[in-house]
Amino acid sequence: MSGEISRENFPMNTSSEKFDPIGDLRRRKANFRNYVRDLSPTQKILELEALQERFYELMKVREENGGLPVPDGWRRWHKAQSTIKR
Amino acid sequence: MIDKIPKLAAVVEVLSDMRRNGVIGENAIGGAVAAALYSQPISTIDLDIFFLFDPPQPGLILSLEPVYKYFKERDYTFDKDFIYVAGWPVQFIESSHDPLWTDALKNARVIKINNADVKVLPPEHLAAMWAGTGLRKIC
Repeated sequence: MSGEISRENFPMNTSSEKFDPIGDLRRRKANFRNYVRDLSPTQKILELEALQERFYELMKVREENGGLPVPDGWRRWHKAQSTIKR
Repeated sequence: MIDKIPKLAAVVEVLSDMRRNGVIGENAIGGAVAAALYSQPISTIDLDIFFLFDPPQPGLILSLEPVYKYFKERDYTFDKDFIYVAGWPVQFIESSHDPLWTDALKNARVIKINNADVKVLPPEHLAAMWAGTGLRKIC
């Protein structure tokens, strides 16, 4: 999603209800949590492994842009990926 | 994603092989990965495997040498207390000295990951373990 959260670029209802971006974020978070809680164990682990990859990428970008370095634990995780036996 | 196999499934196979070869006995996933399986995936880095030796080691001094030997013989990579298995930094936690951990293993729940039975420590025991360590990582 690009740009600021606003009435114009948010697919909200057209009623006269006041726009509530925080409330909407909370609802979307709750929806996602309910969705992942109902996943099978296999799907949960797949989500977790995908989350690890996304999380590491974010930290790498942060580090490359002068932010905090990637923590040791995550460096260890990244090193572990290179040892996956094919 | 339905056809994708989690890397954790490969770890599960290794644990089964270790048990077949008598390297470890009863074992189960604990820590944050176990919590993620009961609730929602939360970002965590490593995998804690709670286990018992079978038969139990004699004497008061515990040695994880049988576990390390298994992985050394198969050219796995070590990093301090961690062993890299299928992309997961794995830590093996022998549980015979702690009644809570032993009880957790005894009451471990069975779930299916990629159609294989996997034991996971019960959520009540996980909560007690974290409370007991002040929410610090169990090591």
